[in-house]
Amino acid sequence: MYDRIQIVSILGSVLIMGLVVELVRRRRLRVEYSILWLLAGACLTALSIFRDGLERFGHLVGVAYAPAAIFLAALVFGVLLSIHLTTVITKLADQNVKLAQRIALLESRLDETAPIDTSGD
Amino acid sequence: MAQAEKRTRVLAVILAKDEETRVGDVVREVLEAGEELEARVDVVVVDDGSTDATAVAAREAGALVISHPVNLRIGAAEQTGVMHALAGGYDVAVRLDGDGQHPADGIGPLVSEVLDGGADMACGSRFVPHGKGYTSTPARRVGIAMLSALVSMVAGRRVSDPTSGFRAFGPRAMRLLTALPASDYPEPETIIDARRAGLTVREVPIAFRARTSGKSSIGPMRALYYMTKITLAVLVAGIRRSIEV
Repeated sequence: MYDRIQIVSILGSVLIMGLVVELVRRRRLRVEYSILWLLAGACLTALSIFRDGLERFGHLVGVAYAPAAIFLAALVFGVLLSIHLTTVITKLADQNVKLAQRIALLESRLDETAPIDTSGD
Repeated sequence: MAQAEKRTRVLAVILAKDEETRVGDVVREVLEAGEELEARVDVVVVDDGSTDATAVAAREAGALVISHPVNLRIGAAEQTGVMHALAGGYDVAVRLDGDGQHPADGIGPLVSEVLDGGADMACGSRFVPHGKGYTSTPARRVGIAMLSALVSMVAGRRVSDPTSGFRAFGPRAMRLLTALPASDYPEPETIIDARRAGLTVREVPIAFRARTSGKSSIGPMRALYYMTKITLAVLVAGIRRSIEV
């Protein structure tokens, strides 16, 4: 009653969710970023289990072979996540520049009173 | 005006990365030119993560030096100088490049365009009518002409030299500049941002000096990236949310 691909994708989805939970537990992934992954994992698991939903989803987007729709969904999710991550990087880069500028300004002010060694040795 | 107290304060912001051989002369030239002006001119060198003795050379020549701990690129360096000008309550900030291509006697005309001409931002232009002799490679001229057409179109008025880094900022332009995220090649895009924020941007004819030594920061491969990035940045600047200052 289950296709082999179905079992593989169920296992895969559950594995990913397990990995995400473990990363959060070890504080190597922020909770806010884990939400996205957990939601995606949950969707993939649900679609893997309930072929009905998958068939209907496949029909909706015009994919004849339903399990392939899962890959389509995963791909779309991956692209969206990448876009999200580049916005996060943009924010980090901007903050990084601002911090470095503030440090430079502060150091120049300190230099005026007492020269400090900024060479890093 | 020699003995009278100079009330108007101008900050000359010199941007330098690995310019130990030239930055000292630039600082001295600017300090000398400042003596001639009615305003008081202070000099700050923003050392953008140099790995040579740029900071030492600049300090010895009499400038205050602000050293970025790492290379943050030209837009951030300009911004840091302007942040210092805002914090110090300067009336005008003038940016020059540390390689000596911007002649210090251009500071006077740029500053007076802001102080007396009512401009928020005055840009030194190599190409405005009556602009004086400046030679450049043909490829570079074509590139600048293309950018000029693009920036003029988006800005809604003619901008003859959108890549010029020799420019003066009044308080409003300073606030705008520090409110924007630092950009890689900031010049053309900030003209659009300034226009869209309702600031007055003017060009002042100035003859730049040809580079005597060293090379442009833009090589052939970078030129392609430069053109693509600036084109996109200018188009985006034309449609993104404007900033109130």
